[in-house]
Amino acid sequence: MLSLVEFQRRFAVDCLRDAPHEGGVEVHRGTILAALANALRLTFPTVVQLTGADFFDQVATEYARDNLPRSAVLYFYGDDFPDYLGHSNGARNLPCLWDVARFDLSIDRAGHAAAALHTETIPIDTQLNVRLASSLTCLQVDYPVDLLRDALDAGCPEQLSDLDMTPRARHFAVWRAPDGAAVKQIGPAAAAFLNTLLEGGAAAEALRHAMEDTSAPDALAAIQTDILSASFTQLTWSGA
Amino acid sequence: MHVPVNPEFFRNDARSPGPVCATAGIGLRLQHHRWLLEQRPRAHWLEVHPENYMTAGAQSAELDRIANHYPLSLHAVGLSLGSAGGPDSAHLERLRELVSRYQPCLVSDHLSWSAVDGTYFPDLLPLPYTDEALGVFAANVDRTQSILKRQILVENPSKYIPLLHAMSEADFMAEVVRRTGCGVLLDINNIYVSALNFGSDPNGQLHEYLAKIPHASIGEVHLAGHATVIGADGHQRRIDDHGARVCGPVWQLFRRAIQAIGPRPTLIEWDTRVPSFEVLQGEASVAQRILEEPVAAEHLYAIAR
Repeated sequence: MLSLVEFQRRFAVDCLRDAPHEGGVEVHRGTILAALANALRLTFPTVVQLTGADFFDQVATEYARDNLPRSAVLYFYGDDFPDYLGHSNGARNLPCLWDVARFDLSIDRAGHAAAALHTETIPIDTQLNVRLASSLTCLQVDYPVDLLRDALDAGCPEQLSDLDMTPRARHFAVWRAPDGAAVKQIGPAAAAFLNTLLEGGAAAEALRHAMEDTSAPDALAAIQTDILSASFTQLTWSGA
Repeated sequence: MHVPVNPEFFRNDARSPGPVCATAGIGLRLQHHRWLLEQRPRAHWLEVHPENYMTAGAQSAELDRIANHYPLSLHAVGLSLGSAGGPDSAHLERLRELVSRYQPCLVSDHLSWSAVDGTYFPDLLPLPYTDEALGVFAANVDRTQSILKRQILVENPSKYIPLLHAMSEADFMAEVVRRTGCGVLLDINNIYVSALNFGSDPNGQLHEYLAKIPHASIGEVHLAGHATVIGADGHQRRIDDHGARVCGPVWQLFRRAIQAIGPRPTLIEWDTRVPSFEVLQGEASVAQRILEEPVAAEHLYAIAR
């Protein structure tokens, strides 16, 4: 007789084998794959609208079969689904798919993050310090994913044909605001500055990166507009 | 002798730990949150899956507000009490935090397993009722109650696969109760679905449960709808999909159970093809009428404790 752990290991393997199953096992297999596909559907709503439910469910189910979760909290599931999608057949027909999936994932993760927390204080100069929302991420994409998502959310897919889909770098700050996930498009200089800070770099290094492809005045203006004035940033003053 | 039950026995308070009164509650789903907060409809108590509230997302803030107005029960699906490796420590800690925050009236999970070797399967998978499984399950329940610092209820599962058991499910559950002091969440629909899937008489299965489980340990009852499907093997199966109204035979089983054990907190579960909250209230009102039917005098004492 199998030990309990041997029984559970064997059941886990048998249940998800891509082969005909005894009816009762098929019930459990169906429940598991449907739950995981549903979790992905909720995390990637723009992808679902862009590809259609049938294609999405097929890819999601294939992904789920080979990528089982490590937690019972399915909000954490699917971090590498964008990469999986990016290599799928659908991506050949929709080059923007990888970007759209990453955008959906950033927004979803921000929506589940804590709103009130901030990073440690980062000195900008001798007087000015910043604290960034701890949920903040900076995403670089090649396609207008924000406009795509807005058009589909509004139920206006016909607007997609008016979008400039020429691939070029676009940057978005994504964070948890009081009433949910927030998105702000930022310029390349601001993105370079922000990414350096998010990776733990000092302000001077971040400023150097921001000025790599633009003048100092333009970089400073972009940082002021896109970062220091943003609602994901808290400014504090030394000695205040 | 049957006596009417004093309505005062059917009152619960929000954010109040401890036994909840024997009323009909409703399984709260995310799509009802906004409407519930705006309309504040009548509901004796609400039950949620804590796994839906283990992040800091907007739904958690909404539940904070809901919990100020309605008593809550936490019905977990991810503890995997039947896992040979035991419940995941991080998951148990997340549940502990929610229990501490909401002070729920009831906390429960299932007689099943969902994880092995760190991989989670979002389903309630079947446990072979063996001596080894009994030892593992009881130890996992003990650990969970110790960390949560309270009793949990264990729900009987719906079954679809014939396994080799060394004892009946009722015997297994009774022994878990004896060893751990946990309670039982009696799911009437699961008794019905499992019996039909294996060609048994649901009344006989209920009778065995009530004969072997201490009645005082039954802390909650679940009611739900189910689906009837024809599998690829051509066999008809009942699936506990919580996607329909409670059917007539399940209502009858419920009435039989309540007449045997007395009124209990009873939950209407509806998880798929979720209808409006008013539909759930309708189902709950049917359950409430059954709970308020005259009971045997010995049960009246138990309610008044």
